Amino acid sequence: MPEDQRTIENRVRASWRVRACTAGLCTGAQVFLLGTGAAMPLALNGAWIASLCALPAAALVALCGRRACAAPRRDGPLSRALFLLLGATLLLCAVFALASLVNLAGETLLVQARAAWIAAYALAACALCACFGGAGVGRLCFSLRWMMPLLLGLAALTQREARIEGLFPLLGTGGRPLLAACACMLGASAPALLLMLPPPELREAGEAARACPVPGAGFFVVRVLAGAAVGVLLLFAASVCITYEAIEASGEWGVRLHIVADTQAHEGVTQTLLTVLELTATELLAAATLSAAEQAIVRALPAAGRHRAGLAALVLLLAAALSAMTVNGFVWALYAAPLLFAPALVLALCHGRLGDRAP
Amino acid sequence: MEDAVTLTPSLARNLAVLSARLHVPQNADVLIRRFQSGAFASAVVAIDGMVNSQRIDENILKPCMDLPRSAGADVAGAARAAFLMENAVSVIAAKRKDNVDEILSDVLGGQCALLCEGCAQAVVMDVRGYDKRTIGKPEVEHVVLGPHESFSESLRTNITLLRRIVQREELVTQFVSAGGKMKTRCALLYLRGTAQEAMVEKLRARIESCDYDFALTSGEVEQLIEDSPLSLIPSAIRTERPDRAASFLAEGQVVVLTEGSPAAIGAPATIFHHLHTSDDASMRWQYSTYLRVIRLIGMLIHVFLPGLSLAVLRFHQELLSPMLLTSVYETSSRVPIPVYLEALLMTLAFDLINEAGLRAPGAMGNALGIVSGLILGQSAVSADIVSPLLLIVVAASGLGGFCVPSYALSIGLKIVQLLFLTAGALGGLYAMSLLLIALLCAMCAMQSTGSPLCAPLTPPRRANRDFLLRLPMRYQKARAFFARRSKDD
Repeated sequence: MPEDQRTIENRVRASWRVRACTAGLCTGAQVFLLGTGAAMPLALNGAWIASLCALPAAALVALCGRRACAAPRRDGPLSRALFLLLGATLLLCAVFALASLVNLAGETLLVQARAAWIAAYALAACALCACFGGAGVGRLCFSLRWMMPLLLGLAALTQREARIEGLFPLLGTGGRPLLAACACMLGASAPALLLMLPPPELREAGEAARACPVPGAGFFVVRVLAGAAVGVLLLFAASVCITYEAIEASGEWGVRLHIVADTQAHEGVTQTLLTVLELTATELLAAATLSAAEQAIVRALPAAGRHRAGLAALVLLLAAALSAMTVNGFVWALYAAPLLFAPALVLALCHGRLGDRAP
Repeated sequence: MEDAVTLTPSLARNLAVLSARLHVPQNADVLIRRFQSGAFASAVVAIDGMVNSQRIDENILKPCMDLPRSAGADVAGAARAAFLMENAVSVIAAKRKDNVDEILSDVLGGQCALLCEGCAQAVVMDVRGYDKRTIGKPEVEHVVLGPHESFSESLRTNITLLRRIVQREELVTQFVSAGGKMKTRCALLYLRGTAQEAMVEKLRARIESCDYDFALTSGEVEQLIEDSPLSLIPSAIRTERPDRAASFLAEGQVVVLTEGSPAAIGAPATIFHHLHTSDDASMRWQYSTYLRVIRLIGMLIHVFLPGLSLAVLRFHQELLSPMLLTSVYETSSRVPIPVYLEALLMTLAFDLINEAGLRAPGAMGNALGIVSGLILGQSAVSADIVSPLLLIVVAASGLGGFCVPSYALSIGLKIVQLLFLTAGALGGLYAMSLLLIALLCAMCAMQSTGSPLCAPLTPPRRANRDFLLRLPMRYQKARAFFARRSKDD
C-alpha cells in the first residue's frame, strides 16, 4: 500500500475513533443524567439496574450508526426526512443536557444566582463550542474521555461510609416502578445516534479520505458501551452512597445529581470537584449533540448552508430552552427525555436509508 | 521613461533604465561605475554600504580591467556576460539575469550587477558586505545545559548556523519574498524526504501571496502563515536558538528564516511545542519530565489562580476553612474597592511593572522591578488599598507565568487569565468551567498549516512519547505525525 494512502487511512480511522469516543462519553453522561433525573425517583436505588437497559440499546444504535455510515450516500426525500428527525432528536438531547446543567449548577455551585443567568452562561458556552464546529467538540471529548472514569474514582473516594443496603436494589421499590425506570432509560442511548453522521473532518477531506473503509462494528460498539458503562457505574456509586430517605426527600433534580459527601474541608473540595466534573460532562454532551444536530440539519437541508442551519439550530435551542424555563421550568425536558427512544428506534430501523458516504 | 522588463543590448539604455528606477542622481548611495573590459565597455551597479567594496575592486573591477584590449573582440554580444563570468570575475556566487526587476531586487539586497555593451544579460554577484551583529547569547530562551548561540539579523548567517548543525544532503533551502512593494527575503528550510512537500508548498504560497506593502519581521511573516489569525494561541512556533530550529527540521517541520529577524519560525507546530525547551533534550528524561510537570503547574497557576480565588471568595466559601475565611474577610473588609476590581487592577499593575521592567534600559529594569514589586506592594497593603491574600495570589500567578517557555504563548495566556478572572467573578467555578470548555474546544479545532494543533493528544496520531511528559530515548524513534513516514515507523 502506498505510504500516503496508509497515512490517510490511519487518519480517517483516528477521526472515527474520536467520533466513537464522543458518542461513548455522551451516552455515559446521558445515562447518568437520565438515571438521576428520571429513573431514580421511580426505582430509588434500583436506578442503576434500570440503566443496564441502556447498554444493549446503545450497542444497537452504534451498530446501526456504523452501517449507516458505511452505506452509499442517499439523498432522497425519505433520507432527508430521517436526517431531519436525527437533527431534532439530537437537538432535544442538547436541550435536555442544558436543562440538567442549569439545574445542577443552580442546586449546587450557584445556589444564590438567578436561573436565567445560569442558563445564559450555558447557552453562550454551548453556542461558542458550536461555532468552532463539530471537530473541536469531538476532539475535546476524546481528550477528556478519561474524565468520566475520574469522576467514578472521585465518587469512590467519597464512599467510605457506603451503605450495604444500596447493593440490594429492589429493596424499597417494587417490580413495576423498576420496569417503568427501565423504559425511561432506553432513551439514554439517544446520543449514540451521532454515530450515524460521519466525523466533521471528513466533510472537508478529499475523495481518498472519503473512500476509506469505515472501521468494523466492534470498533464502535466497544467504545459506546465503555462510555455507557461508566454512567451505569456512577449510578451504582450514587445508589450505595445515598440513603433511600435522602433520595425520596431530594425533590430537585440537581440535588439528586449531587453525590453526597461528608462535610470535612477536604471532602468539600472533592465534592466541588465532582460537581465541576459532572457539569463539564454535561456541557460536553450539550455541545457535542448540538454540533451533531447542526450537521444532520445541514445534511437534510443542504440548501440552507452550514452557517444558516447552525444558526437556526441554535435559535431553536435557545427559544425552546428559554420558553420552557419561563413556562414550566426545566423539568419538562426530564419528562421528554425518555421519549427520545422512539425517534432513535425509527432511525435505527431505517439505518439503510441514512447512507452518508460519497457515491 | 517607461520601465523596461528585460535588459537590452545597449549598455547606455540599460544604465539609464536602472538609474531611473533607482532615482539617480538624487539617490546618492547608488554606485554606477563604467569601465573598459577588454574589447567592450562594461559597468557595475551596486549600493554603497551594502557591498564589500574591496571584493568588488579585487574580484570584479581589477580582473575585468586587466583583460587585454583584444579580449572578447570575437565574442558575440549576447555571450559577453558569460565570457566575463568565465574569464574575468572571481566571485563564486554569480548568475546571469535579464529581468530588470530581479536585478534591482538583488542590487537592493546587497549584490552587485555587472552589465556589458551589446549583451542583454547582467552578471549578478553576491558581494554583500554590510555590518552585522555577531552571534550572541539567546535573550529570551535561556538554557542551563544546552548551547548558548542565538540567531542574528543576517539571513545568510542564520542559514549557516543551521547548516553547521544539520550537516545532511537532504537539507534544502528555498528563498521566497514576502511583501508587495518592500520585499523581505525569507528562506524556507526543510529536510527533503522528512518534511511533507505539500506543507512546504503551502507555506511558500502563503508567504508569496502576501499583498501588503511590506512584511519586515519574522513576526509579520508568522502572521502570514498561521491558520487562525483570531486565536489567542500562536499556531506556529518561534525560536531564537539554532539548535532548536535544527530539532524542528529533524522532526519534519519547515523552518522559515527572515532577513533582519533573529528568530526562526517552525511550522506546523503543536501546542506541546510551546511547552518544551531546548534544555529538555540536554538532560536525562527523568529530570526533563519533572521540569515539564513544574512548568505545567506554573502555567495552570498563572491562568487559573486569580479566577479561582475570586470564585472561592464570592461563590464557594465552603472550600475554605472557617478560620481562613474569617481572616480573609477581615482584611478584605478594609479594602474600599470590590474584590473583582481589586484583582483586575493588581493583575494589570503586575503586567505594567513587567512591561516597564522589560522596556527600561539595562540595569534599570531590575531596579524598577524591585522598587515596584516590593515598595509599592508593601505600601499598598499597609494603606489597605489591596488585601494581602490577593497580593499573594497575583504574585504567585505572575511567577507561574514566567514558567511558560514560549514568550508568545505567555502573552496569550495573560489574556486568557483575565477572561478566567472575569468568569470567576461573574459565575464562580460554573462560569470558569464553561469558559474552559469553550476555549479548549476552540484550541482543539485549531490547525497549524493544516495539522491539528492538539495532536497527537487529540485527534490521536502516532508520536514519540515526548509531548507532555518525556520518556526514555528508546521510545523516541518515530517521526512526528506531520512528517513523512520513515521505514521504522
